[in-house]
Amino acid sequence: MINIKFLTEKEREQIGFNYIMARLQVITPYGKEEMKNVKPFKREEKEKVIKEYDYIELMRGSLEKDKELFYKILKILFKIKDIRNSVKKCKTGEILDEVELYEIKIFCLLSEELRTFIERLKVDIEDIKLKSVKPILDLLDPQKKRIATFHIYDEYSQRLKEIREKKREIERQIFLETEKEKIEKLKEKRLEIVVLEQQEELEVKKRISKELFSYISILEANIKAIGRFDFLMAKTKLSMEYGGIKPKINEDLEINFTNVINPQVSDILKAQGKKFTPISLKIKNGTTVITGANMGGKTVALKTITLNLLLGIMGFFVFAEEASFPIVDFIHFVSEDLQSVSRGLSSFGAEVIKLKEIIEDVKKGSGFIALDEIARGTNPEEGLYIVKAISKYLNSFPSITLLATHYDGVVEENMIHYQVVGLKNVDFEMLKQKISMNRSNSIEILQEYMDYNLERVDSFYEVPKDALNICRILSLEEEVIKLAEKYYEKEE
Amino acid sequence: MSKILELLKDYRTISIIGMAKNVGKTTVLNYILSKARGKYTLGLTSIGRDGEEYDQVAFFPKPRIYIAKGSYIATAKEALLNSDITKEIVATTGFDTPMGEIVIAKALSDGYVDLAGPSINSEMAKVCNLLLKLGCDKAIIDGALSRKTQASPSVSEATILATGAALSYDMEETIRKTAFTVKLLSIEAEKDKEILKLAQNILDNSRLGFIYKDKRYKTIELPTAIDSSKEIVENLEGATHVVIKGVVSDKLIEDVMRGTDKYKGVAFLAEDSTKLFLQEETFLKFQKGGGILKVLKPVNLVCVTINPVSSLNYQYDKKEFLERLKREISIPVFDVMGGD
Repeated sequence: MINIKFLTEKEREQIGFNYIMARLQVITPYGKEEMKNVKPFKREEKEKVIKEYDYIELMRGSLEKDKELFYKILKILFKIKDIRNSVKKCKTGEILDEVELYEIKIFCLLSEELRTFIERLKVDIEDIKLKSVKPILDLLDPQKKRIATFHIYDEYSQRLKEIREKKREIERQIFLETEKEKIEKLKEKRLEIVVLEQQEELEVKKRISKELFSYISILEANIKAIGRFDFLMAKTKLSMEYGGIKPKINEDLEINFTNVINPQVSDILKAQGKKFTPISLKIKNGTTVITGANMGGKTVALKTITLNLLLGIMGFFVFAEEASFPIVDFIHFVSEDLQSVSRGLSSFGAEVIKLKEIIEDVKKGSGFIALDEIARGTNPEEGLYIVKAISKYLNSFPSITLLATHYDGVVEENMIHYQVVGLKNVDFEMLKQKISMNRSNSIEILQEYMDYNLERVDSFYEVPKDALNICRILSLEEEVIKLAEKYYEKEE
Repeated sequence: MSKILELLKDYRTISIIGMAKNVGKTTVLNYILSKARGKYTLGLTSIGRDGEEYDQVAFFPKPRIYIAKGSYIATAKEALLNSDITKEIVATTGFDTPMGEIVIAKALSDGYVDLAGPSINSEMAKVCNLLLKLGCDKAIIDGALSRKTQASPSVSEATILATGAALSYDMEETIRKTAFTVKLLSIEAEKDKEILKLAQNILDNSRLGFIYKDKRYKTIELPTAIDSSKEIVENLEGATHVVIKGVVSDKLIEDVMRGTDKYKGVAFLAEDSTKLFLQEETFLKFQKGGGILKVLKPVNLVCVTINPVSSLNYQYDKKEFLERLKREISIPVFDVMGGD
């Protein structure tokens, strides 16, 4: 069950969290269990989350040093099967069958192999240390051959050995006999022995299962350790793939990211031959407003910050050059999909319900709230008032609110303000000409010149005219632009 | 029948398929097992069964499979635990069936085994490979009622077809049906390498495709080719080959014949002959109309075995049955009950 204090399933999908989970190369069923149960650390668990970062760092160092060793470990992990049902069965006193005993034996053989390899990694990580399973192996391998097969060995019972000798003798006779009737007789006799064999095998299985029960905690500890190792390794590899770093945990309500990226968006852009513009920002408790024209990447900025913060407090490395943030009590992300914007009031209604939830949370704890173009579905005048009210209200709470809007005039003096650079620094004549030469690709060209960087804005700033500029560049009717310009002048 | 082993000597994976229930598949298998004893290490499995065990005809005990010490079996866990050999577990496969995971065990004694292998061809191919890797000289796939997918060349290198009196009270009908099945299974394979390559390209990406005179080809996006007659009719103009992935059914062929006469001289290519689910009538009509049916990979049918006795208390004249069937088909025919 996802704790919805840290985003719903749909919101996790939106920010690219599920994408990251899908990229995690967890191999064993136990690692998958760890991944499934991953959740944010609590504020009082600061030490734990830092330890988790240290583990990733240690793993990474050791992985970079000896790739071959890791390759060998990987090969073992791929062979590990799920024995949790057998363990459960054993714990409830049931008798394990040959196949289950076989699987436990294989698990133990692999566990021993893995144990020596992990020791060779020389990383000081308590969680991934495996226990010796020698007593279990001795039980399941009385011939001490350490071969990856299992049967109810003759060594378990003298009686079984004798029964089987008789069985073999009769089978030999059956094989040599040519008369059909005699064969039938012999087969009947064989059946009697088969029954005895099965009875004795059952006795043996009962005994082994009981003895195995006394070692069950060793198996459980190793299952946990293998799961932890698998998951840590997946986290480590992920951080190497996307350039993750070890973040710092702040005591204060301050979030700092330098050049942070969103792997999902970055991968999509890469597939289109484009590059993700990393985002840098420094925010604190109260409301921070991001403004900028549509198409300016405000939504991506919110997703990126939310994703990295969530991953960070879950004990992952984050995808940035530098990062620090506090452990928060909750994370909210409110962003309507563009498709549902047309639903107008009904989507606004959903937003209001969500806002109510957020307000309840900020009264009780310290969290992070990302609000993307809320009240977009209402009429602009009302929308502006509501956004203003919300940002002002949230500004006074010990939570960090990051609000993106294309409305102007939301920012108040005691709020931080970021603006998407957008087309501000572009040579318009050049761009206009470029587009006029290649009209069919005008939107792509525009996007190419759009500067997605965020810049901190001082209290006095000029209202960006990106919307008007886009109209100009895309050659909207001259007269419309002139009329618009007049309105801009009036405002100023 | 003593020559069966000789016929199989060059093949590593062998499947047994049956025309009907109780036509002696298991008898054939037991015969091979007894003859291979001491010569080959055998691995045994069966194509997933469709409840065959449960609706067998009463009062007619089904022969069980008796294997030699040292043989390997790949069977569902529940079936394995029903087997009375002394068993050593050597591998698990991760392939699940309603009767549990497919497990591979080595027989440490002679004994009866219960076979219930995977029912998906790709899994079957992997299981057979695993048996061979574990040291089996040959992997044998026992058939299940009404299934012949295991004969697909993607799974087995050689196939035995079992037929018998259980198929019909009328020997005439049994012979005709068997001969047609043999004909269909051993249908001609496309030999033109260029066409084969184009056809493979088509199959890699879609379920239906057309090759034209100038060796251009085109694929059609479809979830399945089974009802694709409309698309076939629309694209047939100028085509030399139609490539069909999956089952080729009576309905498909009949719908094509109803929709156009442009199929004359065009070769319809199926993946292999186990994909052809055609009645004799449809097949003949299509051929008479000038249609050509071929496969990309041929099934290697090495022999037919017959069981002249039916479980319903009637039997054919052994000799007549054997002789007449031999006349109808060109591959060896053996009587599983008699010496030959």
